[in-house]
Order: sequence, then C-alpha cells, then structure tokens
Amino acid sequence: MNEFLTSYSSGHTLLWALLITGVVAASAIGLSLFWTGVFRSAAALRRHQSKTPEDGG
Amino acid sequence: MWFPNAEVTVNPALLLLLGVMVGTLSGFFGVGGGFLITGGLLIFGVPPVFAVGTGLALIMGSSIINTLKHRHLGNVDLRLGLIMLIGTIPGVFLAERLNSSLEAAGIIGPVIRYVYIVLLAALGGFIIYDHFKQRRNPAATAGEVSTASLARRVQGLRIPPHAFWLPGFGRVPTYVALPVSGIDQLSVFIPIIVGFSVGFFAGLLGAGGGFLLMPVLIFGLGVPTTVAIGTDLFQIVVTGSWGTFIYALSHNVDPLMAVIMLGAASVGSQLGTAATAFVEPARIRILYGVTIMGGSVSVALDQVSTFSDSVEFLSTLASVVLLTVAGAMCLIIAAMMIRAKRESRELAPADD
Repeated sequence: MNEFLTSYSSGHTLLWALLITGVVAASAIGLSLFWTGVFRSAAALRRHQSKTPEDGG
Repeated sequence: MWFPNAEVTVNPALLLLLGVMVGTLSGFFGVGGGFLITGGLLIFGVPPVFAVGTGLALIMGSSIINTLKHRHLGNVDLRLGLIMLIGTIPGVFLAERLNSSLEAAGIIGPVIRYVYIVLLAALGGFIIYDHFKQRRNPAATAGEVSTASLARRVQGLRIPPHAFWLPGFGRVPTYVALPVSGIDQLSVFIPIIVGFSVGFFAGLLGAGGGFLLMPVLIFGLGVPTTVAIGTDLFQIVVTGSWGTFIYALSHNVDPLMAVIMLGAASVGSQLGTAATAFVEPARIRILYGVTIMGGSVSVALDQVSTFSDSVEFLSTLASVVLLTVAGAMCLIIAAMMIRAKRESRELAPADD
C-alpha cells in the first residue's frame, strides 16, 4: 500500500490528482449514506419498539 | 503511524480528534475549517504544504457530508448556490494569479496573515456587536439581525440589464425568486458579485471561503442562518474540490491522512448539523463570532512570532489557542444539543 501510494503518485500526476479527488468524494458520499442508514435503522427500531401489541379478538 | 506521501509519523488518535472537531464546526457553522485544520496539522508535525493540501481534501470531504445532511434538513438553496458559483470560479482564478505575483515578490506570507487578521477580527467583532445590540433593542424581532433593513434594501436593488435575450428562451429577466431563502426577488448580479468576492478571498487565503460567505449571506442578503450555513457548505464543496485537485497535481495531498480524518469528521458532522435544528439562530451566530475572533487572535500571534527568534514560541501558542477555542466550541455545541433534547423530551406528552 505504501509503495503504491508513493510510486503511483510520482508516475501518473493527473490520474493521481483525479484519483485523490475521486476517493475523497466517494468516501464522503459513502460515509453520508452510511450515517443515513444508521439513523433510519435506529428510527425504525424505535418505532417498532414503541408499537403497542393489538388485543386478541 | 507512518504516512508515506507526507513522509511523517503522526498519532492517528490526534487526527481522529481533529477530524471530529472539524466535522462538528463545519456542520454547525457552515465553514470548511481550513484555518483550524492547517493549524492543527502543523502542530502534529505535518509539513506546511501537505497541511494545506491534505486540509483542503478534508474540507472537500467534510463539506460534501455536511451539504448532503443540510439538504436533507431543507437548508441548501441550490439555486442561490449555483448562481454564486458563476462568480466564485473566476474569483478563485483571479486570486491565484495574484498569489503567484505576491509569491514572486516574496510577500505572500505576511499579506495572507494580515488579510486574515483584519477579516476575521472585523467579522467576529461585527457579529458579536450585532448580537448584543439586538439583545438590548426591545423593538427587534426575535432572531432578526441588526442589518435586516439593509438586507431588505439589497434585495430590492434593481441592477440593469433587467433582462436579456437567450436563443430558444426569448427574453429572460435577470431577477430570481429564492423561496428556500425566503427571498421573493433578487437581482442575479448580487449573488454573482458576492460569489466573485468570496471566491477571490478564498483563493487568496487558500481557504474554502465559508467563514466569509456565511455572514455575508446572513447580514448582507438576509438569508436565514441555517440556510446560509447549508448553502455556504455547497459553495465550499466546489472551492474545496478545486483546491484538492490543484494540490494533488503538485503531490501535496496525503490521501491516507485525509481519509482517516474524514471518517472522524463524519461523526462530528452528525452532531454539528443536527444541532442547528435545536439551537437558536442567534446563539449560532454569537458562537460563530467568538470562534472567528479566536481565529483572528491565533493568526495575529502567528504573525508576531515571525518578528524575531525570541518570540517564535508564539507560533505554537497560536495553534494551541485555535485548537482550544475550537475544542471548547465543540463541547458547547454538544452540551446545547443535549440540553435542547432533554427539554423537548420533558415537554413531550407522557404516554398513558
């Protein structure tokens, strides 16, 4: 990994810059989706726990 | 932990702490946090040019996360943001040309510091003054800024040309409605000029420009505080992305460091953005004013440290001041959020 990071950056300047920008953007969007999923799951769990059981017929 | 691109060893716990602080402040105030990130990374021993480049990558990533979160809260005026970009991009280009001239003249460091000191002090001072003025004014509407009448006059400005002809569209007026910002009509030239000015200062100072744009939107255009925060973050995504790309072209970004801090920043972002829904806009503004005043003091200390070798320690003190103010702000934001949630739970009707 260390070798890739140092050798690729020196050999492919433009691609490296695009790769960095792309990786940061993708990481940010991925993290945003992750947290959205976490909060939606937490909200769904809270709703499920607060539902009162229906009385039997 | 060894970072091969920056060729430096940094404790990852420090990077995580800095990331959380940046994410929190970015989400709460709508700033990129460039001055905080650069100062913090310099203290951690990261070479200066990598501190700026890696900082821009974190600004870019953190702003994307916060913009998406604020959009979900209805705080991003995309129309206003896109119009401002028309001016921001040429502003940044012009600033970069000026920077090259200043660098060639050997005066870029002092110029940037003095501009930062004056801007931050003026903005911070005005925001704090506005807060106390409105508190003492019995006639003031709750949450309204002291420049509300100025903002209404700016919104009412009629700047020619009032329309132009576009092929395929016919006569197109140069006024837009901005419903998200609560503005009925605004000349497009105003946000373009605002975008150009902010882009110019952002390019000159190597920052995202958020610290300047946020107060201009609130006090100059009358945009509600939370919408100013969200829209401001959208702008920073663009300026931060451009800055990241430019620095990456010069091999001055450490991606591993940036991603580690970004992961931590995403945690802070959740707190910072959520807190804007619970904290009064007037409180957000006063905290922002105090934070950027702290930034001004920090940069001033840094500038004084260059006067002689005997006061070089002031440079480290500057970073300590900055990180202390930022850390205190994060704790205050967390405390306000906890208090507001407790109060809302107490007010909620009890289940039978």
